[in-house]
Amino acid sequence: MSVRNSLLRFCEIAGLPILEPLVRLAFREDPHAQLIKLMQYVAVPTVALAVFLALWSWAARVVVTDSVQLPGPIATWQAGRDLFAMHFQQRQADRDAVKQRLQEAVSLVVKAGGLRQLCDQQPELIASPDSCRKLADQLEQRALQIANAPIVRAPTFVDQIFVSLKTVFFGFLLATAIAVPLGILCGMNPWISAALTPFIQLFKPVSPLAWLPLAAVVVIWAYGDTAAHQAMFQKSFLISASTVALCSLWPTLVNTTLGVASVPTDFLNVGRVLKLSPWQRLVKILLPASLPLMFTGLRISLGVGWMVLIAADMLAQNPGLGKFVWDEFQNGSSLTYARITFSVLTIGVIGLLLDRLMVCLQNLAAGRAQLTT
Amino acid sequence: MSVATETCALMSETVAELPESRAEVMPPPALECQQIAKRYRSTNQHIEVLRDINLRIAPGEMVAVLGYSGSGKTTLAKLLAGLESPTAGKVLMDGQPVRGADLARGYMFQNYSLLPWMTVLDNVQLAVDQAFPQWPKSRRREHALQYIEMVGLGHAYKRFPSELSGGMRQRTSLARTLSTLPRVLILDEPLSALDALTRAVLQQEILRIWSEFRQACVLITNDIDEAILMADRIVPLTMGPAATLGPPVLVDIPRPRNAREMNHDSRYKDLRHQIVSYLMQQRRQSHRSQPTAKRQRPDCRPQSLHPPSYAIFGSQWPGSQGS
Repeated sequence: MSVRNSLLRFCEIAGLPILEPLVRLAFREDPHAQLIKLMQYVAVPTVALAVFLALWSWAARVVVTDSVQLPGPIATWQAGRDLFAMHFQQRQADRDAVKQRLQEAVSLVVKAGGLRQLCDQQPELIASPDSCRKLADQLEQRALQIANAPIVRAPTFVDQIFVSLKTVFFGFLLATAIAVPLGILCGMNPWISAALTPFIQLFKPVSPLAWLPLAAVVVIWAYGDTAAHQAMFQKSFLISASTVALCSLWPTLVNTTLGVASVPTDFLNVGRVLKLSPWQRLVKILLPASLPLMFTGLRISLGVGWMVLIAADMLAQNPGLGKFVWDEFQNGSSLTYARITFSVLTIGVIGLLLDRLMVCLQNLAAGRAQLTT
Repeated sequence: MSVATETCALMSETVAELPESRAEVMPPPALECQQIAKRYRSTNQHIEVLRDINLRIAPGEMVAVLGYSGSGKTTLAKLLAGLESPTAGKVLMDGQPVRGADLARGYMFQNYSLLPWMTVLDNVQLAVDQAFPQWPKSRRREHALQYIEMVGLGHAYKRFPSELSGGMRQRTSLARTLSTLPRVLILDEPLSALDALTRAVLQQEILRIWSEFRQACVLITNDIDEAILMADRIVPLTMGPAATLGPPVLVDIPRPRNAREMNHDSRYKDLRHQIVSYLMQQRRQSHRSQPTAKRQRPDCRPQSLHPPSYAIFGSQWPGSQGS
């Protein structure tokens, strides 16, 4: 495969049609057609973006109440820059704090060492050597405590982004682990499908906000006896993640069912003629054939999950982007609305990136199972 | 009419001849259909696809089932393979009733049915793995490669089906079917999706490979020339619905047969004529037995008998008022 073909294939699989005319242009392929494509993919969106920014600036000047003003693009940009600057400042402060603590701990260890030496070598100077050694031990333990103590501070904006991503992926994995096997069972067996269809139809349209209290009850019940520092996850994290899972379950479930149920009869007949065992039929025929539809479902699920997460974070007070927006709204400082606008854009960009990631996986899955006959 | 009577006479001759000439030498059949019928239940009616099918295929014999499209040929093939079970009657293989599909009966699909996410080798080896699980892995791979080589795809064993031409796909399908060493072959219109040139090449190829193994073989086809070229015996399937097998025709042209030479062979011409007239007669009968319902004429009259000078999408022709 030539460089050109592999580059084009990369564009196709990565879901980046923007790059395709550039690659073709680099290989001197019909420049006129490529320029038209560039116009379509680059120039037109750029103009549209400029128009949008202009409208936004105009709206920011018009929408003004007694106390607040709709933030314009520049205010939003500055708020975002400040948020990131704050994050890096905080990082620096954290590093300094850790350094200081380490120094303190080291000095304590040194002190303990000196004391112990004194106890051992000149016992005549000390009333009771035992209590002396005990003191040295205590000093060492104190040093250990100082060195290992967690740094407690408010999470910055960037920290919140990572917590959100962690939560959404945890919930998404939970949903996938439930939905894919169930979907396969439903697709393979119409009786199981008949048993589960009413539940799917009933629970699919339920909003995350309605699920959340119930998820909270279950999590609190499960974690009722566990002390906070012993638990593997925070309660709010689990509540958010399980709400995400409950809401993003359905597209994967429905699509997997459809994918498995609509495997062409010819492929199933091949399995019957070759006397494949049920497990082999699943692995060699059903799963590969239904992979493209399954990935379509996973893509929709992750999109839904990300959307649900923001609402769940707000309600569960899980330290994520949703909570950030909520806290800012409650704060009511002059920067509030600019920060919220910046969060909205960040949420959109991350959602876009997640979707691109899934498109990429989907293309990879579909590429292997091309259903050309 | 005289042609038809002649054909009928010929037919009855062949039928009468068959038991005598073969009765003593006929070994027990490799595959046998006894009074098979197949009905489907649609929402409001029963559809009878096949009825009273009786067929015996001797070991080493190639029988062509020849019929119009839609007459139930593929249903018959699936019944023989065990992919479907008959509503009435029995399919026997070596005297044992057939229950479900089986590797002992190799089935070649009409539309290749290769698994698109597997290479040629993987597709064939899936079958080999199933047929010979006791062999070590290296031997199974070698066996699969040997059959891929045999159908002339040795250079393409790493390719995916989407990267193969129609002929190459059907070659892969053939390799997959043969690699399990089936005792009976069922070829369900194996070549009907291919262009005429590729088809001619593959006909010879299948004959060459089959003459090495000599399994009992059922060839389902809608191509008379293909049937005469390949089969020892041709059994026509009458027009559906409720199709049944017509009188068999023996093809006594010695093998190996050459398609080009056969065109000038008088026996070939006779056989062809005989089968074509039987099938045509079948068609006429089936049309006669299903009288077309009298059509109601639409209740409207043309406004003007003068044809319009130009076409418009309106209710009135502009010219019609004037005339």
